[in-house]
Amino acid sequence: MILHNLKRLFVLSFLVALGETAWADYALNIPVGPTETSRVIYGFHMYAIWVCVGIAVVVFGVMFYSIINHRKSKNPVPATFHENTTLEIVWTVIPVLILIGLAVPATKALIRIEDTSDAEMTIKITGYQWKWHYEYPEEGIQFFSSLDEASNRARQLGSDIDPKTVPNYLLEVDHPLVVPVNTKIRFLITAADVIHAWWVPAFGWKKDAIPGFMNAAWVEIEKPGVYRGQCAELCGRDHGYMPIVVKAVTKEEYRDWVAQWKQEHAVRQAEEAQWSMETAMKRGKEIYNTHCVSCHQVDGSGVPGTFPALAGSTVVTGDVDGVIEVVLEGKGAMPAFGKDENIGDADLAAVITYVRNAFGNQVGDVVKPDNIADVR
Amino acid sequence: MTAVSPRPAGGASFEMEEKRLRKKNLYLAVGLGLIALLLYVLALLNVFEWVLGR
Amino acid sequence: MATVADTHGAEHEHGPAKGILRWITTTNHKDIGTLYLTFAMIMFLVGGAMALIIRAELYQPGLQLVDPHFFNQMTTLHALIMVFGAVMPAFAGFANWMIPPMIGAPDMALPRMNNWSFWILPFAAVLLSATLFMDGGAIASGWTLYPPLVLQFGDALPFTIFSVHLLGISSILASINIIVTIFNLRAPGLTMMKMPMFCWTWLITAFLLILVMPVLAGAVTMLLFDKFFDTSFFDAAGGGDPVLFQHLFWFFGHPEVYIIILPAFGIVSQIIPTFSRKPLFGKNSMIFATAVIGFLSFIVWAHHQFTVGMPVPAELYFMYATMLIAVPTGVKVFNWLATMWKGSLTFETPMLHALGFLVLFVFGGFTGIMMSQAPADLYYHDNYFIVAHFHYTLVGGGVFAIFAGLFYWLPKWTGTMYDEKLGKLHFWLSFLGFNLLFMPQHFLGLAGMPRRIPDYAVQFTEFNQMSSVGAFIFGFTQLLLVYIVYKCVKGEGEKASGEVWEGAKSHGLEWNLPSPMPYHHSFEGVDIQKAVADE
Repeated sequence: MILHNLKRLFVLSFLVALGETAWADYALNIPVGPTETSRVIYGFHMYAIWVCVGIAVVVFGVMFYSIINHRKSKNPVPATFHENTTLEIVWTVIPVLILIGLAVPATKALIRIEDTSDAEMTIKITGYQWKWHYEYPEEGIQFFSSLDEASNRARQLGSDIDPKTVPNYLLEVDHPLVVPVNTKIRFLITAADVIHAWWVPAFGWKKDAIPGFMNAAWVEIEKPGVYRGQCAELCGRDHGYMPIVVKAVTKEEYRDWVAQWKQEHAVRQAEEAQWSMETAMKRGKEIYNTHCVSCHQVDGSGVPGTFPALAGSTVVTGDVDGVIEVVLEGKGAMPAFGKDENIGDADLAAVITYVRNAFGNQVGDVVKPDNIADVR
Repeated sequence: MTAVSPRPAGGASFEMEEKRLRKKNLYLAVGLGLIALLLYVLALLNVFEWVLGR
Repeated sequence: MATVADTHGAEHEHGPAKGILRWITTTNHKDIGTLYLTFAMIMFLVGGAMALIIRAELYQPGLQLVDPHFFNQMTTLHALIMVFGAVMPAFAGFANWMIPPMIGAPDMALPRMNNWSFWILPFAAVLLSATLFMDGGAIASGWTLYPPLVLQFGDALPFTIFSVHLLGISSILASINIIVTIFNLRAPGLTMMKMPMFCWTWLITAFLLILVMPVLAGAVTMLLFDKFFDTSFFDAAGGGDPVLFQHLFWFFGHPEVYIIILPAFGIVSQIIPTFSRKPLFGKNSMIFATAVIGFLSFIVWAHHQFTVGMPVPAELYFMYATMLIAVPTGVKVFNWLATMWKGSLTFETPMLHALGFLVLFVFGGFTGIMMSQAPADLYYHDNYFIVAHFHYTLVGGGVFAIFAGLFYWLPKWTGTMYDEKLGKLHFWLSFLGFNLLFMPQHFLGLAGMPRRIPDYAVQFTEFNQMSSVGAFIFGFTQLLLVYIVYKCVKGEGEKASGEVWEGAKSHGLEWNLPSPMPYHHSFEGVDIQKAVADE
């Protein structure tokens, strides 16, 4: 294994040395994304690099010339000069001019990037430990987006699953954000618990999601495609496991998607109106996988010493009002899910039903949304 | 061997000079300490919120 | 009591006290300098071990060794220990050892406070490290301690905050001592403008410390109140603002990076002239540039926060102010180059490290200029590009300068030359290991890898592997450093002359003294006035 890795390492260094781009996966530079902003940022980055390369040639040139030609063996008697006012003024003024050359375009670019006016649609993004919630206020669509199951299984300590066999390891979610192309979209970004940052490298910018405050940013994507990113601000244990997937589709496909989502939602609501064991368990499992799984684990075994097991727990299988209370109010590191406006009573009822009847727990009762409202 | 005084004696006896120096050291140290304390209090009073606030 | 009183000459046969009490009760600047440096070396190895845990986990994708929560504890403690435990105490050690002999003083001005400012440190460090073994482990919020995340951690939080308070008090006391020493104990004739660069940079650093450490202390005190006394300084639900903490933190944090780099500038400004056999070029402009950097460091903090959603005019202001720092920093670099120009260069280990510093720091400066551009920073922020940048400046800059200073003055302290062959080997292994460690991280960042993640998407594998291999090379090379220093302190090696380096006498008062310097009366029998005038 190690030998194999060393070999790959060697091959790669060789490729880098040759300036070869044979390995398409290996990005060396900022991606040129499908938005104007990303091209501006890329252009900026390259401009700054070349300015620095220019300065580097001069500075390191002088330095190595000196190291080679002014060594003691070649220049045994040192010069004695120690000041030169003209020279000192020159090398103060030239950097100022270079910096002005950088600052002027930077100012223009920044003002443009931060201008979120005239957006055609709005999407509200809320960061959670450790998933994202997306809401389309104009369409009434909202959903959570968390790490997909395959990555989640592979990423566990000692899972023995080779990440290379998992497609888009750590960069795949269960429900991607779907957006239309060629539309100026304003994102309103906030967080529910701690500070997160929403970052899709292909779009160039990132923006912090701060609890209690609303930040704005925008994109206008020109090419349909799937764009992936990650949370960029340390937000706790699973900071590395809350990816972002944006699916940009044509306007027609987007309309279809909205219609389909609404239809599925209606069907589901009708199903859940009856609130059978089956529907509650199905929905409960989804909710569990979004909100509970990162601490209590897929099989409800928890993390010994840190997060309690749900499987076989007498609290979970005990008095139902007690369980509802814990879920609503939180306990220790567990958040108070009852305070979250993005999680309804039906969600809570479903997930409580699920934990009481999964992982070998067999209470057999179905918790109804009304039970939750009663405990509130 | 003759020890070299760290300060010019300047006519005064060395003992006098040292006393003066100690006083000078003490005043300067206490002054700097007070500046640090003041900044701590300013930070706690949230004065920085007005200056730094967004 | 090794203060000015000792210049009477009545007790000058006194050596150091015997045994462990010597180190606990000492008020001698040389002993305290040694304590600082030893402490820094130990913490450097502890913080380095943590870095190796981080790099070992990041060797390949997937989790192999540690839980993500423990990984976050490692990144947090690694930074806190390296900044407060290793680099700052190391520079304080140099200050203690070298400032008195450089200005012709017999000792620091406030020797008993000097003892205290050191002995707070080990307690703070133990307290901080002990949080690892508490219920729930150490805090895992990153060294920036941002709320609300940091408020989620349990028992470790108050201990960490108390430890930060202690570290702050220690730094402030040391700074007061340095300022008082420089203002009041200079030898007659040694005017401020004649003072060596190392003293100048430390003087400005000491002022920075006194002005910013209390603000950090205030900010973490507010965290404590938010956690335990139901205040809402940083909680939006109670009318507070989490970003206020970031403003306070970076008001401390940005000057803090100059606190680390200015003494490094000072050390390098001593070394380059010595090995170029030429006086420092443009010393007055060097002093002025240092002061300007110190001033600018107070008005640029929010460039660490371009993504928090500041108003555009504020972002523009912080961008312009940040770019300005490149000007005085450039002046310094050009002055060093002009000092080397037409000199008569030799490349002993201290000079190699100083040149290594120059190369790496200038490289870190370039990425710094790139990041000062707010629009591009929206991309660089919080990814591996910034990790590479600040390690180039703080390790390539700060730590390499510490290595340079150590090799430069070690013979003066011990009276024995270190092993030159091993010293050069240490430099080359460190330099190559360092670049293998941090150069690939630039590409990782540009390709889109966020910082502070324990696991990554598979396309980042190769560069992470290079980086981890470099980390182990760089890390284990430091054991060689311990060996070289140990050998030198034991006295195994050539005897060093008073001047140590050819022609060094014209580059600083300290080279007029015998090696090692006398324990109590550095300048006994030396004509300071003549030495000052000769410079």
